[in-house]
Amino acid sequence: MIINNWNKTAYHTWRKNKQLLSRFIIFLCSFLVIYLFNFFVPRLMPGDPFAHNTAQSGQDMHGLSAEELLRLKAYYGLDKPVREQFINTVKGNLKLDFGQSILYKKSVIEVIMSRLPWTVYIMLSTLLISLFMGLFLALLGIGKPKLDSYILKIMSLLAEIPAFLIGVLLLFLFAAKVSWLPLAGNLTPFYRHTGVLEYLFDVFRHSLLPITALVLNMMPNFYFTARTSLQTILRKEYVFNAHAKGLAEKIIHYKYILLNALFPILARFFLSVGTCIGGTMLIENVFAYPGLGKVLRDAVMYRDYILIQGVFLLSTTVVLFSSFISDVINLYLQKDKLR
Amino acid sequence: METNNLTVTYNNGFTLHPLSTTIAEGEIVAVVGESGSGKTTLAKALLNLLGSSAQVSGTVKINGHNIFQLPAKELAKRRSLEFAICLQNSYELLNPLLTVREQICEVLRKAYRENELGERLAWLINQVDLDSAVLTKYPHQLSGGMLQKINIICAVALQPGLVILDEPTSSLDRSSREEVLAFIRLLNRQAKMSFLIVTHDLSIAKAVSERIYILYGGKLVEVGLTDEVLAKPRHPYTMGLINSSMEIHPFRDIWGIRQVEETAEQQGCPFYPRCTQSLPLCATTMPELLPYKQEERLVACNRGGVVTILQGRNISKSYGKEQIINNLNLEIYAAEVVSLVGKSGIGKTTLSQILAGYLFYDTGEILFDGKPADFRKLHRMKGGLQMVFQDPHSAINPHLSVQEAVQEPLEVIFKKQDPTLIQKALGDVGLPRTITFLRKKVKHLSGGQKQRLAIARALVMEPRLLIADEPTSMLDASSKANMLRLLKSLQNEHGFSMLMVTHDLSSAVKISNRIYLLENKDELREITDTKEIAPFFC
Repeated sequence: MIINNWNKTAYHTWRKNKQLLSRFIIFLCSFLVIYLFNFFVPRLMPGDPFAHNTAQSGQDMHGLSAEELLRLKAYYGLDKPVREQFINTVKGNLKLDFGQSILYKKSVIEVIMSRLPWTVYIMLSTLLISLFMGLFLALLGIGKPKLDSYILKIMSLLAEIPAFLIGVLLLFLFAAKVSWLPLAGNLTPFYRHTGVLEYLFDVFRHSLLPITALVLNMMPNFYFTARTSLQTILRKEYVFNAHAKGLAEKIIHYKYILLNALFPILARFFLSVGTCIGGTMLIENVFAYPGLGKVLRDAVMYRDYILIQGVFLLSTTVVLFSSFISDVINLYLQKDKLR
Repeated sequence: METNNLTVTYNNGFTLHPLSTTIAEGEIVAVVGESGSGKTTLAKALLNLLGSSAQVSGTVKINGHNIFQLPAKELAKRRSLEFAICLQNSYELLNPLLTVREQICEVLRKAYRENELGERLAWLINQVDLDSAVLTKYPHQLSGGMLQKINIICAVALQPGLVILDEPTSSLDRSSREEVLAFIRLLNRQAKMSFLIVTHDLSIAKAVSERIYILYGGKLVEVGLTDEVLAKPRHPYTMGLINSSMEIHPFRDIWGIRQVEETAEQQGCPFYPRCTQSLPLCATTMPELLPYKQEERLVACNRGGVVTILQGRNISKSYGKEQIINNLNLEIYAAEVVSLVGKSGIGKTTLSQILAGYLFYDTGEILFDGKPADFRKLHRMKGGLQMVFQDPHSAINPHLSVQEAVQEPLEVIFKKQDPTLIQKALGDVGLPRTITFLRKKVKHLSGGQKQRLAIARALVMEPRLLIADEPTSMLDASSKANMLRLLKSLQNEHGFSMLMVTHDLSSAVKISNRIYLLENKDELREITDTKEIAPFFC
């Protein structure tokens, strides 16, 4: 083909922009679909929050009268036709108003905001630790086939065990059996911390087990990605050429191998956010950690539609957005293949 | 550089046979061979780049150091500084995430200070006629040719004593190729750098190299000065390679070296299955690279190089007092097509009939395969000499049937009837093999068919030399073209030599490897330069 070089570059920029746009449109569409699901699924579930409140929880022994029920429904806007409820929800959401939680009697945003930092803390630490450990293990195996095969076997085994099972096991071993570490919660209850450091240490102590459980589950994924990526790059001709040029090992390792291997690993990082949210929510319940997972569980138990919607919306948006970033990274990854 | 018994064995079975060479300072050597002949393996092995995929033995000394014994760190340090390689071009030779400038500077930093980089970089870029804008680009933004130039720059950046270039001009257009070759010559002259150029393109070898190494199946088959090897190849493979090169023979109808399916594991000479002069011995014995006669040439062939099939020395002939030809010399090598051209009546047919043994000569000597020719025997044996005469109408008894005509030589000489041989001979020359055609009388055939039949008659004898006297003079343009291509393809496939006598220079140029021009009765000379023939066409 006779395309001069300038045109070639322009063509690729155009093509990349087009692909970027299509990814963004996919992102938006998925968001809309999920938003609709998010609204309708709780309303299709059997039971309703008020019936549950009064009968199953056993807290309020007196039943609600029909009058009270109507008043409550009117207060939460659940008496209106579904269409109108939907429009109101959208309007509210646009103003960052996600409604009032029926269970906690507080605004949803407030509930989420008070719990979110804990979940984010667990998630981010898990992801970062898994990323670095996975990468480290993959690097360890380079050029040592025997060690590599051992690590690979252990990782494959580990990847098959669900996080909550690891959590229960850890709980049993370290908290119940030898009680080195606290069983549950995020902080020692009713304890007055004397300084920031002590506070941080307490947080660390409590989070150690849940994070370990999650890391053990997440790390194999990063390891596999890193291993494949590194091995692909190691076989590339430019790495061979770099050796042939006699470049310093340091340059070859960082600028040639690691730099090129990093893209798929980063993409993996963002893709893992989804898995990690699920894992975190389960693990929070195992360790009674007061994050979003526990809130969601309670919300589902009490049919607190509004809170469920809020938590779902938040988590799905985060997952979608990180997949979108992962997509964009993959798009840039292709740039050396785009010719 | 000095190599001693370098041997490479791949885990998958491919072997590079023991090889010893030297490359002196300031010398340009070309390694030529077709794909899969082990050129790239050799290039990588010379700089200890093969890693664990192959076992390497022998020694390679560069500036006196055996590079297989240098510690890895020391070796890496010397790369690019003392010796460098430019690998076969591909889009993946450069790191996709670094700019071109960064990647050239990486190499330059091994010897230059940071403030000298810019100047050096500009000089290098300028030498290969690249725009300085490419420096800020990433590899995927550049064309294959630009990348190739950049790779060459990386290899020569520090002016190492020895640079190995693997197919350095494969993705370059003609003018860029000239620039790169000029740059190589400049570096060679000014900085006394040695180059080893690995290529399949003979014209590149011809353009820059002083010496040439011909590689086939992982074995060096011929070594010599480039000009001499290209002018007079001594190994059948080299000869085939040169004859297949369009760059060297722009006007000729090109035929490659015959392809043969390899049936058995190769023990002996790697070229054995495709060779046109092989002996049973060649299948089992690996030839050694030995000096060829007195020349500065090494050839690895069990037969000592290209065989001279027919040699005529000082041949003279006169009818009564009239001297027809006087003191003529000519040689025909194995598996080549030689044309004998000249004006009508100058004595071409006389000479050809003498060479074919149908006319006695007064003085001189004719050697067939190195021995004095015994024509009685040669005409009556397989692997001998056969002739196709000028006039197909009178060459075959018109009352014979086609089958009888082809069968005749077989019956007369071998006393046997073999219908499959007849079928094959007819098929080879493109005649029908139906029963009705086999029963047809020769007199009912057309001129073209008779000529084909005459060739079929000659070919059932599997001759080593076929002399064809004006094989196309009686044919129309289309039949002539078909006949020439047929002859050439049969020659290429069966590997016999052919002497074609013709007054038609254009067909001679098309199919022959060499042309003898009979100018007058005392002068028979070989035309080596196509320019010499050009006036005949204008």
